[in-house]
Amino acid sequence: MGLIDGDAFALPMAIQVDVIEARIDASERAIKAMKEAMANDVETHILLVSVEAGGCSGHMYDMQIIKRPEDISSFQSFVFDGITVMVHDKDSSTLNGIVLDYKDTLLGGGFQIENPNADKSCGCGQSFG
Amino acid sequence: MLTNPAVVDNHLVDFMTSYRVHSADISVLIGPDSLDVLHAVTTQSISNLSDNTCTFASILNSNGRMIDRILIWNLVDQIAIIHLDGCSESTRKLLSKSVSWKQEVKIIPLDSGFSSIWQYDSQVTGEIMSITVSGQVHSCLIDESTLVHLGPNPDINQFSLNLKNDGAISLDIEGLRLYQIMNGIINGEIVRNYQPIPLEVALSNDISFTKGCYTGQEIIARMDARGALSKTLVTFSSTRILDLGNHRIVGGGRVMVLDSINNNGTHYNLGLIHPDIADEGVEFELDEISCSILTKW
Repeated sequence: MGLIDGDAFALPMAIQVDVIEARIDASERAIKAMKEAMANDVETHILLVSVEAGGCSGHMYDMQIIKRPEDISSFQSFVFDGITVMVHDKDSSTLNGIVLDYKDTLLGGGFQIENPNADKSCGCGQSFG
Repeated sequence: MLTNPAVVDNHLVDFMTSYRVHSADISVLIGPDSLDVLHAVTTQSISNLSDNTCTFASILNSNGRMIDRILIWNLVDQIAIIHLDGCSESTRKLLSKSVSWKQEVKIIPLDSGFSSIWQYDSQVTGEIMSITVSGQVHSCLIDESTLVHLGPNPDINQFSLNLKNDGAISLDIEGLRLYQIMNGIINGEIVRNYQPIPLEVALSNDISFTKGCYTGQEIIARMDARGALSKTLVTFSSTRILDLGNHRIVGGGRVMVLDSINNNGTHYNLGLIHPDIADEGVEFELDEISCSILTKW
């Protein structure tokens, strides 16, 4: 038995997350790598960049190539040379100003995100806060 | 050394049931991903917390310092949290930011309408960390002698009245501070002012050393691997009341005083001191104030 009954869903949330109109940039190398990764799926798929809780510094990035969502009312879209990148409204303030980059190195290579909102990052480089 | 002091007319009394009502700093998380969100941000392994059980966990900043200590109640369809006094806002903010767009979690503050009772030396036996329900009040024995009750204000008020009628002592704020100092308990004011590291304040049971990443984990893992703390929590007496903060020990070293209280002419303190001089009975001087360590936690 819970502490509060079903009416609790109507109670106010602790903190509402800010939704802003985000700005995202991508380097030439990142756009090239995205094109290679998406190959023939450019029209039907998008690159979704999101933030999840975790890591030593509080947050971790998540990047997925997914089928273009049917309902995009909660997403913000950015098109780079035909490639669509989306972020969810909830992540807009955390991801505002990020630059997608790609490093072609064997160790620590792959997609990188430079985030001006990150004050700190953990030693392994996977987490930011 | 009193094992469970309470305050009656400003005198320490041993083995009395005492209690304190806290009327804020309660949150409820609703949604299927509630435990996963808590698991990602707390020091404890939460994702497999059994139904109708409680656990303590600390919330740290990225420097491994405490911003809150929470008692998490798995009430099956809801997760209730009791925060340290005055520490709920930062934790709620952190939790709100930690819910990803894919997760369904609603964080609801219950700062009005619900309260908790912390009942010390309860003389009640039962399974520790197991939740029982009576009417609207949820109860949990969190150690051998401390019972926590959580529920709507009218039920909690009635509960506290019953305790009083049964002879239990309602602790005022000074009585609660004395109890906390004598039992090595870190309160919300200490956490807000000093942001201690859990390992330094005898809260290693709050930490899972196998769960993987959480905010501040890098620092905790490094301290644990090194196996040596630079400070540890002690209760000590002094010949005068002490200002809070850092004090230089005559002959070398420092003590960080976290709380200090005068009880009927004797002064009791909670502080952080180097482990090498933290043994019970060790005496030291702070600029014409004599101190003696009572308990190392």
